Amino acid sequence: MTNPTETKHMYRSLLFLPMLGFLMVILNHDSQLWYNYQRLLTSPAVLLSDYVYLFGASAALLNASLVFMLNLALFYTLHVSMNGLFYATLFTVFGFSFLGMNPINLLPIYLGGYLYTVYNKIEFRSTVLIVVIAGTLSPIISHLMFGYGFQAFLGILIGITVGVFLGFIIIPMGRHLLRFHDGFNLYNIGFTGGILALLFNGAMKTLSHTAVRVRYLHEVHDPYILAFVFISILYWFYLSWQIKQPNSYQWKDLFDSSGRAISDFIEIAGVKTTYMNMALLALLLSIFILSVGAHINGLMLAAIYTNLGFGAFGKHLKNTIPIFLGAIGASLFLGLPFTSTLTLSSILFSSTLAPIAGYYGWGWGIVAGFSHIFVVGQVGDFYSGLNLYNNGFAGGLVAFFIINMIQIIRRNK
Amino acid sequence: MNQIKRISGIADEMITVLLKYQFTKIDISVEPLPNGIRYFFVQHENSLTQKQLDDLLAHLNRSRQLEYETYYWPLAGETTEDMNLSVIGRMINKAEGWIEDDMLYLILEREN
Repeated sequence: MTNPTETKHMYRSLLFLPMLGFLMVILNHDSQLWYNYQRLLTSPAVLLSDYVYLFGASAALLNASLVFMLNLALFYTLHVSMNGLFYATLFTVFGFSFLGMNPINLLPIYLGGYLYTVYNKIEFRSTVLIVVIAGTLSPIISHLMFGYGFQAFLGILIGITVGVFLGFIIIPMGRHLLRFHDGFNLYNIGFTGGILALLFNGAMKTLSHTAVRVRYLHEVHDPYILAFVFISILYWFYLSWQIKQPNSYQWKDLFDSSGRAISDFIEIAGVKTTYMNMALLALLLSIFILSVGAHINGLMLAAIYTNLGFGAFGKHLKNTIPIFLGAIGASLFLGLPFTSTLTLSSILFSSTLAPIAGYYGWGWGIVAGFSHIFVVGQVGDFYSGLNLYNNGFAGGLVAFFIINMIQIIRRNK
Repeated sequence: MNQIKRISGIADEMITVLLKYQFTKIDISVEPLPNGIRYFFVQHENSLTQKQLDDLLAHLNRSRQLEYETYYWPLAGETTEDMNLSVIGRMINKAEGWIEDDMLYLILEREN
């Protein structure tokens, strides 16, 4: 546990990231910045809307930095513990702010989550991390506001109302669905979001309102985005290095953890080791993306920062690598191109199943990663891209299948 | 209703853990306190070593965190093959335990 001064210092150290984002925006000199940012805020935001491609690196960085600061301010005001889930939430939402999330489509969900706590007479602090990560459903709000073709005021009104409703119900729904995969799917809120988006999409289709899946992805390198990624990862190495901790690095404690919920690495292995683990995961992924000749676009940024965040809450090299190996094996088996952002994102997000490798061993981890690739490419159409954490939904289904198969096999022995 | 399920989930998980060791009988009592609840587990002729008990208590005495409890409590009772106890460690305020004459005594306290 950290004391209040240390907590303040740690919060302050996180401000580096949005400041770096703002610096990149200034250096980029985008004369259309405000125009582009207005377009970003009023876009339908359905999966896959790469903000870097659609609105430029500056608007995307500005959006992600603003969302990061908004969430950080919210957590700081509410005195949220800086635990593993804190980092997972903060960085996942940061990453997806390059690919669909923005303040307009997040705030109604936050308001709904707050009203849920008022209704149940519980502290907002106790649910805010889940409410924030529930931004997975933000495309529903944007699509109602700007995508389905409703009259402007009516669309905004419906969008806010539905967003508040989704924020209100996401906590109990997500809690209930934890048992579906017993905590073996780290992106449980993505699984929950998938179910809700599926229901919503079905209802809207019945009412003759169809959300159309899009695929706007930046397929060239942007120097400011590249610089931002590598500087932010290096900064995370620096943060780990400069922390003075009596036991230095506690890798054994970290690797002994299966990663299954709740695996809070901050508590298990300390801040120093956890930060190093986060930085290593992000670096590994970034190098992998570049080494296969792919580009760091909005979707890749979401993958990199989600993995960085979950490096504090369930993912480490020992339980993640077997999943990646399985996913890479399946991609090779199916002949999927590695330079494709979609193939890569499926591989990188397959680490949502890391607890299976951590708990049942590398063999089952490889099987899980392999299976994930067969499922994830097909499920997005179920909800027309209205759930951003597509891999969380697929991961929930795969985890359900694999862990039950393991139980069946073990019982038969 | 959720409060009752949370309380029973803690007992469920502790029984799951204790059932992994040899014993002749397990007594459980659940006692309401003015501001919470207390569990008292007694395992007769248990096979737990002092080291295993210390590990168990270390997991149980992780700080209580509402951020985890509010969302993850349905996983309480899901401990299967390891002694992770990661969920109920976040749901209780205090755990004490000792071994005396082949009897294991465990006291868990949870504030409202």
